[in-house]
Amino acid sequence: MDHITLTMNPLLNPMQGVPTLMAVGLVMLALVYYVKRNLVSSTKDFVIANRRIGFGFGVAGLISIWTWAMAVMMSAAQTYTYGLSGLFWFTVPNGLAVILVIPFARKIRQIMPAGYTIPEFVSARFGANKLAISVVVLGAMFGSLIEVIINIKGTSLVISNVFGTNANLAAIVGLAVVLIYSLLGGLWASVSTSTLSTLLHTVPPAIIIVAVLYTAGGSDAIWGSVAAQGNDLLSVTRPDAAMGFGITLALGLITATVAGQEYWQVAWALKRKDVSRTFLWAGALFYPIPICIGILGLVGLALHIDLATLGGDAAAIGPYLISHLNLPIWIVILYVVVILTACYSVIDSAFTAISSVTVVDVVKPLKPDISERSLFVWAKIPMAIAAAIAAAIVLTGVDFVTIVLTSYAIRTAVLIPLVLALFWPRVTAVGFVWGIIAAIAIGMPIRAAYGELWGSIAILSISAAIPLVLGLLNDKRFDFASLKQRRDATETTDMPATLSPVPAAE
Amino acid sequence: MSIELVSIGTAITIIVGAIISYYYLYYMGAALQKSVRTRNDKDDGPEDRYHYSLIGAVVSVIISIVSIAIYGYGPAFLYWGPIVALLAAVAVAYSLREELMG
Repeated sequence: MDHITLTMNPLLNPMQGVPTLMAVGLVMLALVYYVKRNLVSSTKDFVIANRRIGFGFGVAGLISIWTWAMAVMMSAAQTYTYGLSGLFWFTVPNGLAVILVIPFARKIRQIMPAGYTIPEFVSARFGANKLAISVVVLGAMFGSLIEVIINIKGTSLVISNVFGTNANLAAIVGLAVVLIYSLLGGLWASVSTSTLSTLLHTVPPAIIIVAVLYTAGGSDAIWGSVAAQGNDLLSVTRPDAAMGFGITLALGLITATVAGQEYWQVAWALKRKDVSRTFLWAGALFYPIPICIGILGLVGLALHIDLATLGGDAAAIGPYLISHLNLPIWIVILYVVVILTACYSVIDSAFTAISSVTVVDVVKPLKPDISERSLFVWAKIPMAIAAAIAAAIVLTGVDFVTIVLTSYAIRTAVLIPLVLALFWPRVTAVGFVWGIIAAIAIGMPIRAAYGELWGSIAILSISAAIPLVLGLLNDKRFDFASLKQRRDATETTDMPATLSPVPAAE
Repeated sequence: MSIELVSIGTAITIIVGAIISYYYLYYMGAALQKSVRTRNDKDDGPEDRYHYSLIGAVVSVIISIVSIAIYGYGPAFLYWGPIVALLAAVAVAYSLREELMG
């Protein structure tokens, strides 16, 4: 493989970065404009797509919402680090995390069909306990904000690494593009653009990988080079991959979906007959994306690219190979588009999650008699605020580790109490709240001292033990049937007067 | 200087990908138009009674594990990744068609 020379593609230049960002954004914007004109005329359309998302859009939307930019890059990075064991431990829990939402999504649609958000369910389940609501609102907001920050950082890193464009400029343009189309269409915008993104996460990677295999010397040479290195790189059974990141990643992924507002909102937005099979298909059809793109990691191993060349960051293996393998420029741009659409679809879904939590759990409880017009405006304001905060954090270079840790701690601590609240009528508000608080208070220092795995185990154990013990001591049973009677949170008294449904297109 | 021409394998993938993309976009557009036509319909269809979640989860996890492990059995299997990626696009296009027909 010595005849393969890796040099920066001379046709790439900084002037191509922003036009690429904007071109992808304009395609999304055109789609969203159609969606906005024909499908979005009320707050309910905006935050929950009027619960009219069908099977196809549900599957495609979920796949793309779950495909983070880092997921695209990390599949190659873990393969590059651990061989096929890295790809195995990265990929298998990822799809499974989406499939595992099925029992929870099915249950929540059955007991609370008119719901919108996790805090709304917690409020209804625990008699509007303010502490319980505050904790889950905080967790949902921080979780979504982190998704925006991480993905916008991903956008700027790829654009700056591949084209040499200023990273801050790329971040601002990317954020502005997603904000504009998210403001127009809410969840319908997120799902329709994500459906288009799913096409871009499947067909282009197939073309890119076939081109890379050819340019890097052919599959025989690549496979032979990796096999010759031994070290079980072509086996899925290396234990260090499981211990190094696999088990911790699996726990984190399950927490992200089962306790993630982005997935609950889709569960409530789907047509009720389609909920289970949509999550199953989305999880199953997510698998091919990292399985295909992970091959870049094997190519990196075959070409003996050392970590120092990548600036010490294995996640750079994909962008590095694509920009240094002497590939046709349109292949390089196609790869960037794959990453950009992954970023955009996660960010727009996070914006919608922030919007629904603000409308349903903050604005509506504070001002129950708010008009439909004002509520519709309020559905958009938090998206702009979240974008401004994310931009400020990325531009100032402020360390956002605290937000990451807070978000991680709350989401992990909420997971088991939330599951118990959904299935076990004996869970009390005190057990729910103190399970979460004690888990964070004790688990986070353990995480700091003994690492992520032991920290996660401690948080999950404590958050399970307290609601279980207090629940066993509780004789009262919560009546889940009462949740069915809850009024739709975005219904306003002036709705019939102000709503003017858009005529159906011919 | 980068090569602007591609291999025969890449050209075949592009052609197959273009055909899949055409049908994907066709069904996506048609499903979107159906969503517009039915946007004010009540969701009074049947309850969610899907019975294949568990078996579907087991099968999909097994297929994903095999799809990764198979890379280790020979160079030709490295092309399995692009093939499953294309098959995923076909399956999503089928789900959009299902939405259209349902």
